[in-house]
Amino acid sequence: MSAKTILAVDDSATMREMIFQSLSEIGYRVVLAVDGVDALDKLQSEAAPSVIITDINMPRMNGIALIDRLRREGPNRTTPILVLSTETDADWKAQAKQAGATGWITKPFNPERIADAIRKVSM
Amino acid sequence: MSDQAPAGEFLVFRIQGQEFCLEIGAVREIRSATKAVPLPNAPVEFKGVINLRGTVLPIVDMASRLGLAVVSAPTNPVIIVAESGERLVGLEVDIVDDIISVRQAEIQSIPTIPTGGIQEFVCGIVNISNRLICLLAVDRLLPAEKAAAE
Amino acid sequence: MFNQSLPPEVLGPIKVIFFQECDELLSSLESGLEALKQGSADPEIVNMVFRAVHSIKGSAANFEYVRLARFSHSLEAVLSDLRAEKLGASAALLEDLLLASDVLAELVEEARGGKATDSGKTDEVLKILAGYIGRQAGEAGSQRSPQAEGKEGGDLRAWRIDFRPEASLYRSANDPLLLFRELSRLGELKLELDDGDIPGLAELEPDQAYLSWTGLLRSFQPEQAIWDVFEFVAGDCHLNITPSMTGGLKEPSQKAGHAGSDIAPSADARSNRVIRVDLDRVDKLFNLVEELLVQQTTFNHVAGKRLAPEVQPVYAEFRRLSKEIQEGLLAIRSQPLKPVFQRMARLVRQLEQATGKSVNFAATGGDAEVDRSVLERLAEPLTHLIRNAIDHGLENPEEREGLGKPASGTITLSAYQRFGRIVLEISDDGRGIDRERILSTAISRGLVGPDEHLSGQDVESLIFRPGFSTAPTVSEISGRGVGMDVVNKCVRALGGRISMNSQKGVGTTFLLSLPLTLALLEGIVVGAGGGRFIVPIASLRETLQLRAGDIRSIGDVKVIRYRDRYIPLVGLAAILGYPQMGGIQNSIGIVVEDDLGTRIAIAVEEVFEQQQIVVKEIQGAYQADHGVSAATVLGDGHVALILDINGIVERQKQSAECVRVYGKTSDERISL
Repeated sequence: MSAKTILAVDDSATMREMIFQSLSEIGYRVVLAVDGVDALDKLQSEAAPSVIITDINMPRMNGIALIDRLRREGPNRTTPILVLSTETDADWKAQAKQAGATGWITKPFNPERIADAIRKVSM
Repeated sequence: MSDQAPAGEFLVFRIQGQEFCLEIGAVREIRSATKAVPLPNAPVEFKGVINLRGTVLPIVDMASRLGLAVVSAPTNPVIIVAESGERLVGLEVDIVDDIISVRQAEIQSIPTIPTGGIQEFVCGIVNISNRLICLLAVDRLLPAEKAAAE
Repeated sequence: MFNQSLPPEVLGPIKVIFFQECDELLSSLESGLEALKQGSADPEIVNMVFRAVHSIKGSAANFEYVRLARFSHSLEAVLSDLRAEKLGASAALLEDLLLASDVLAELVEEARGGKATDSGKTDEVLKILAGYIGRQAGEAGSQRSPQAEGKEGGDLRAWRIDFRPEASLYRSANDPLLLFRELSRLGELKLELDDGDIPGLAELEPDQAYLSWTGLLRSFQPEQAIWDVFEFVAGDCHLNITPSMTGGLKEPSQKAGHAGSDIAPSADARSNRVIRVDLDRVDKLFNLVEELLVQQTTFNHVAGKRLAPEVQPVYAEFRRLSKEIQEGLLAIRSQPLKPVFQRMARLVRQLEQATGKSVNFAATGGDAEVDRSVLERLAEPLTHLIRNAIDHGLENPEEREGLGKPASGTITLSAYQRFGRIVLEISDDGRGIDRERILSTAISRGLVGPDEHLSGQDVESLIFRPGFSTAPTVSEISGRGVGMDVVNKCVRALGGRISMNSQKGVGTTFLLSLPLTLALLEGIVVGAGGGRFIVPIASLRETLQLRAGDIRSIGDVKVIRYRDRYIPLVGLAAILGYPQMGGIQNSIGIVVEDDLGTRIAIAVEEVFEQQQIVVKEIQGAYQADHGVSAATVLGDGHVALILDINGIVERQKQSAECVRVYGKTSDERISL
């Protein structure tokens, strides 16, 4: 298991780019996916990430469904999953928790907070 | 910036006996002048266009542009292909001298001279070993953009 | 925020991506709303529309585009309710949403560095949106303060922390150890484990939680900092933080939720077969291929005749391949008209508001593609035409009803390819153009003589003449009364033609015919005055051998007979101001026609073959009115100037002020 790989899932190209830039800067290797389906794809072909960061609202398979799937079976059942979202509705947070999210970061965010959160949930 | 720090390299050339120079970064290439295809009703300093490997390059007659009286016509004029931003222009001059390295201290601002015209294009004077070389700004040399008629 | 954390050279390109993405999102937002307006019931469309605004909001907030972020937040809230079916998709709501999407587009433009938005209008729309969600608009939404660690100084206080994780906490890969580490960063922490709940081995279920802790923390940090450590797990544990020595229990409430939605097929299934390419790169490639083609022509010119027979077909194949690459690149640069159409739809909505008229706008053929050289400059003439149609063409609702027309006016925009060109039709069902009024205005402005005989078509084309405008008052909406002559100039500059068809009381249709690309054109190479010139095929009518006897004179103007009329004859060299070599006699006359239908004959010395010309702009901008629009490089390396026929006809007219010969047949009297 690579100690420094992060999988980031977001349907916004801008977001993906920002996450990539800020996490790469602090030394992480970042793998990007455009939605849940793509994320599952990438997980098949890439080494298991230490942390998965995902958005909620995405086409084809949203964040909740992704977390749910990852928690049910497969090698990423115990991988920390952080939700990165602008959704402030408590309902969504509850759903994410229910599905098995480890943590929740609200957008807008700054790189330090993400780095911090990643540190918090990983060794 | 320290006065002794290098300001850069400049290409020196002559027009009607006077020396001028351009920042080397603005110079794309130098070639012998070829006959330009004139454009109808163009201003007198605009000689026309030539083919530069597929690009249509406008040629500016520098003596005319700078308002210098023509005492003797050059035998083998040279075209300096210069660029300003995205635009390319060919500057036809008498002869190219050399490339010099200049320090910041050697560039002075132009003294106010009553004659109009040339100040428009000159952004400094290089003063080395008793030479007076006018530093030209390429973007001011380009043929003026004429606004599309409305 | 990101702005401060990432260096500008990294942030810059990300912003470019952001604005590109915004364009795409705004486009799908509009089409989605339009589809809903048309009555579509597909829930995926609602989802897509929501996500579009959601994405814009997220990124805008990160770049600190405050106005944009706030507005998108409000719009997102309404869309969220729509998605959750708390709001019905009524026609009124959709209209308002479309209006809001226009404002959103404007705010994006503003953020991009474009013109500032009208804050009054923005506030108004915000109020409308707020009305739908019954909340104060502009709320930023609850956001956690990131100020958890070490920002506030304070007294040293002691806290008691009771912490009992639920099984769910472990299931979500949270680890109490890490939480305790965080806590210990806040101050001095003492922990006590309570393992009293652990059952015997037989009953032990490995995925259940049995442990709890009590901690004592001495810290300078505020209470919030301690809660923040447990931020992620607040719902998965029992947690109490109390100042030491006091009691009090707080149960964090946990809402029941249900599993998230399944994988849903998306209305806009993202295709992985599309990539984003920098247009500059495509342009560079295109230019390179052009150079390649020029080189090949030069090669042919230099070595063509010396090529051994077996080499000829090899060269021909080279050539063919290069042309195919060129066509391929042109196809890449081609883009659909749809975004321009959407812009027009927005314009119509704005004008509806401004004029109080009701307009049905329909656009078809948005899939038709043109090279971006044309696309970029299409919006201007279209905008003028639509403004005029709404401002002058369409009657207001009362007037229309009085005439038995439906209260809403209809404007249709359609595009299709025809004969290698792109044709755009803009029609309205408004007043139609009154020929009488055109004629009388033209006469009063001195554009035509009072007893001149003009056909119906001639009268209609008068509106394209400079200085013509029938609007009695300067209309605020059309700016300073943009006349048809401006539109005509725009279209001509694009190498196109415009014509009009109108019926009084019924409506007007404008037809624009434009080339598919400005980068290439078909032309004939001619020689005159020692130089080479290109006559565009589109303007060419016929080539004639001139004999001395064919050339007659009217005053100073030379004319020749062509079909039934006398048309002016000019020497190309002469009209462009070059030295004339040899006389006009025994030269070749090229009959050309400008976009207004005026024909003249141009005398040249030689005529060469027809070829496809690569159009090169002459840098240092050149007015087309001078007769030359651009240039090209021929196979032999010579630069040939591309003639602007409209400009040449203009020049000829100006030099023949005292005599008008158009439209006169050979046996009519010529009036001076």
